[in-house]
Amino acid sequence: MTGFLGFFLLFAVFGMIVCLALTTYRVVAGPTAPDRVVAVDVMVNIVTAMMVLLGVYYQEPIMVDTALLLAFLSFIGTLAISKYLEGRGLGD
Amino acid sequence: MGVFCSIVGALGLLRFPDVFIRIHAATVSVIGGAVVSIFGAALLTFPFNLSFSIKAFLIAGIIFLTSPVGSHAILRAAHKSKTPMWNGTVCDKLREAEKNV
Repeated sequence: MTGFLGFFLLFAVFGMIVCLALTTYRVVAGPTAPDRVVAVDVMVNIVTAMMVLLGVYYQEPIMVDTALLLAFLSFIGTLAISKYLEGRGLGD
Repeated sequence: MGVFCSIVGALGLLRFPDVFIRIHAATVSVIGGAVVSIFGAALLTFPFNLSFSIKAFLIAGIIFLTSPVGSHAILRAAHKSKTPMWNGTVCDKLREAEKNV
């Protein structure tokens, strides 16, 4: 993908890199554990979007499969950490 | 559009005072940033790469469905583990309900 559309895709990817930098600050400096979990959730979703956009740019279908897996794993991880914070076991 | 929402959400995540307010900015960043961008990519590749487009639609749907569930679970856990709130919080219906029972 080159030309006008490719320029827009790269611009979007650079904007998302800026967002990743901002959320990284919240992950490092977040005062409590739920802060960090929320920030990591946002980071994973932004990375998923970035992978889809880069897959369009480089014409690589494998990147979109990986993004699909990442979306599932982020959801499962968030639920597991919230159960842990609530003070229950994973089987409850 | 997606990048604008994403940056606004990240700034909110940086500036807001406690978890229960920061999750609003997180939702802006996820729904307005990630889902809209993936949807746009799916529409962009629809005419010449159908499998890519279907997978991208699937990812957008998954994020759209699972992100509210995840944020609800994490906030319930945060409330239950007594995370400190911002001083300006005026309304805590769940704590009042637990007190009455």
